[in-house]
Amino acid sequence: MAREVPVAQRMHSIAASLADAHDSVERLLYALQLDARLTGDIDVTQQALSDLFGNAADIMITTLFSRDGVQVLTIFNQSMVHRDLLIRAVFDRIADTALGPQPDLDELTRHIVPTGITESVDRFGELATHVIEGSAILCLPGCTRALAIQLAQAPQRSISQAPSEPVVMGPRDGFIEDASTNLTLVRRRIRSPRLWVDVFRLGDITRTTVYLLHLHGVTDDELVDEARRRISSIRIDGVLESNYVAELIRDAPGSPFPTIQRTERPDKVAAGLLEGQFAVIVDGSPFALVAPITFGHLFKASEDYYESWFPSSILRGIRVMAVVLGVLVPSLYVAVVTYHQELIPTSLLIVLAASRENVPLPTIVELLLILVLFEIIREAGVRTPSGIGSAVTIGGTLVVGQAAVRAGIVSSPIIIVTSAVVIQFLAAPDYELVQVSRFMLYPILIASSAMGLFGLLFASLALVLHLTSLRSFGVPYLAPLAPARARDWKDLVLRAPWWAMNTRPQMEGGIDPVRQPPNQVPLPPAKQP
Amino acid sequence: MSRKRRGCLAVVLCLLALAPILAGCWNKYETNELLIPDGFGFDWHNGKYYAIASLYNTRAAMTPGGGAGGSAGQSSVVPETFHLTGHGTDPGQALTDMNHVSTRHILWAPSLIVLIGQAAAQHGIGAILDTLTHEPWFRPTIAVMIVHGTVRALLDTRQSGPETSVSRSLKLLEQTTHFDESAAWAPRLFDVYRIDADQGRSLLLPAFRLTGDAYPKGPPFAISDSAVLLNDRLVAWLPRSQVRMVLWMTGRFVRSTFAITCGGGAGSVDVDHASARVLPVIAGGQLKAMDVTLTARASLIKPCGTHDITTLQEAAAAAVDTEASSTIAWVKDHGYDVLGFGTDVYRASPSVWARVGQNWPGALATLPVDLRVQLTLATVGLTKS
Repeated sequence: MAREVPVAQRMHSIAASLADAHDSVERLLYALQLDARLTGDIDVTQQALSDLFGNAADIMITTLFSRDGVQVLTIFNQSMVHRDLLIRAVFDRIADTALGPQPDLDELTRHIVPTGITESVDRFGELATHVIEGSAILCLPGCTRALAIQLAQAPQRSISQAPSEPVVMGPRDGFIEDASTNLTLVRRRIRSPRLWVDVFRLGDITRTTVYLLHLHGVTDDELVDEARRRISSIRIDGVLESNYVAELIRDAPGSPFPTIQRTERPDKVAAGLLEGQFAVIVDGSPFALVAPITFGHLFKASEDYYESWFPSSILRGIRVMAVVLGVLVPSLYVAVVTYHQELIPTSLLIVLAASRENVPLPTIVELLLILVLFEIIREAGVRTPSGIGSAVTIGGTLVVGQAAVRAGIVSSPIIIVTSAVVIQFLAAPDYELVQVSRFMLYPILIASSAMGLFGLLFASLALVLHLTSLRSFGVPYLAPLAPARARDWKDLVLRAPWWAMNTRPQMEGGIDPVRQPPNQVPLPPAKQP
Repeated sequence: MSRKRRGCLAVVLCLLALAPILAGCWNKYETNELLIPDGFGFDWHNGKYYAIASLYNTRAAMTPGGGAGGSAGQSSVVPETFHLTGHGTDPGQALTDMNHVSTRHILWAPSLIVLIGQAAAQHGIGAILDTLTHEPWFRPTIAVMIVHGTVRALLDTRQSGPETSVSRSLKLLEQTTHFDESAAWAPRLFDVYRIDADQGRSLLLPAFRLTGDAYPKGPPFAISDSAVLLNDRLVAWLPRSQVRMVLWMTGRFVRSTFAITCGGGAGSVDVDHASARVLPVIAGGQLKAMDVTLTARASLIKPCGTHDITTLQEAAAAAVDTEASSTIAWVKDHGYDVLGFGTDVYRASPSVWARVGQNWPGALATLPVDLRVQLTLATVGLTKS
């Protein structure tokens, strides 16, 4: 026999259902309102817009009169429009213009056009979008269309040096949060009509502007089509940063390794485009996306190409070594110290053994403790306001470096190992590579503590196998090493001189492999006979 | 997930689970659970082998951060090394006994040298070396040295000059002075077995002796001479006076100066190159003699009573001949083939060796040795002759 549901509970359930239905109806009505067409009735339009924006404080809906007394409804976002221009070129002109008994939108356009770019809209949804983006909207009585005049002047910071990718030699400008400005910075470097730009609006609510850039005739068309397809298929409520797009279009989404590079440097984007990559600029983010990439791209700094090839090649080699050592040094230390002590010179072994006397924790626990503590300090340093950042640093240094050793909780070699790891990772030019490497060392460390050098070997092999399996828009991640492309080794660890960079990278080099004609080695003038 | 993928995953997980076991995870030792040997060796006393090791006391070792490893202040009262001893009827048992005495794991891998006491060497080094060979943690590159008296006495000195390690001091002494003091460089474990395989050859090992000198003059021990071993037993000591010619005749030339006399005066020559050719003379299937030719090149340092080059050359050759003859006489008198004549005979004729090798020390004593010295004075310096 079915149990009888109490009346109060049933009433509560019905009320909840009604509330849900009410919400659904409201959402439906709002959607209908967005899709509704303008009626030409100024009062109705004014009321509808007030309802649409919920009487938002920054949205101004006001009525002007022309010289002959025609009512003009004006809507604009006071925080986004250029106010002087609005007053001088719109308000003053309307007040000075006689629109006649049958005001016409085209007539109004003729008077206003010199002030900026205009567009005709006929739906409330479009109208609302234009207002939000900084346009001023003019509605005339009896007109079922409105005029959107672009007068946007959004607040933005000035162009400054890219904080995540500083250089000593090379251009100092970095991207900012405004996509149009970022696009300009790239165009300034590639003054060619072959730089094609596709525009997308992503985010059902945010309607974020996204630019897809590629160099026509250089970038593979199939690659661009694939990028277009992936970007177009994004369905999300909002895009606030370029990583939203990166995560939604990247290959191997489960892998911690980045298969799309993010950069703050317009010169890096331009260089990528010249090599046959495509770029994505997202409004609101100072980080552009560049793809396809290989693992080697993450070790390249812009400066490599702005300095002589000789120091650049050595420094790039040092960078690779630093990251590899950064990942392997803690594991190597644990493996050798706990399993393979015979590999350590006797005098060093005595020092290591002496430093561990009275330390109560196993080496692996010591190391994990310090590494995790350091991660916490680093995270705290990033999140801390700059005013008290130094206090965090000093506190962290004192706690980790001094107190822990003095208290005998950890041995001093552990501090040296941790410091080495931290410094080695700072040598990596790509922030995402640093982030990944920081956390890649832990599984290898655990394997080393369980199996010694065998564990180190197994875990490293697993890591390499994983890297081998990755693709970035069809390009093998370890190219040009695996698969081997000897021609592309000229810009892998060693950076060949510019006169030897005759071809673009084969894997991501697109359809035009030739970069420059050969035989450009500078030679002394030939002797006159 | 398909059945095949599940199967693969199961295999991978099983292998991963087995990996730590297969990789020897139980061999894990923290560094503060180890004992690090400074030097070790074997003595023989009252029918028993004694294994003795000098081990670093890491609690007393100074760390770069300052102070002793254990806690500050202990270094003044805790000795830097201490000894562990074990005994048994064979060397393996003695080692095991020593391991059982320790609360920590002895890491034998850093051991560079194994010292063998005089009594143990006289009893035979074969059992000791065989034991070390079969212990996986001993390197085959470990050097073997003999000690006059006991190893214990040498390790007890604990004063090793500027070096912090007795082993290190022994090794450096052997490297820097063995040409002057000993006819043998310290052979590694595998060298000993290789030399032992040579036909009729007596093994030479550097021998150390306590000097009684105290620091800071130098370490209280030094290479004194060479131990001669026959069939793995210590049988004699090769005196320092025979060292130079043994080295020359075994192909390890060392530059040296000879005093010469001629024309009623005394002079000297510097020999900067020498080589030896040793050939057995076999006739009718019989070993008749050993033909030894020493070829040397020298420079005149101080002329004696004459400036005649031929006379000087003859005088220098006579000096070399005298010393070489003395060494050959020592070998024949004692019957210990430290010059490797037996190996030369075997290489020339195995069938002849099969006959003479059965009583090689006896045959060596009566074997005629035809010695020829060819010395050339290459430069005469400032003699203006």
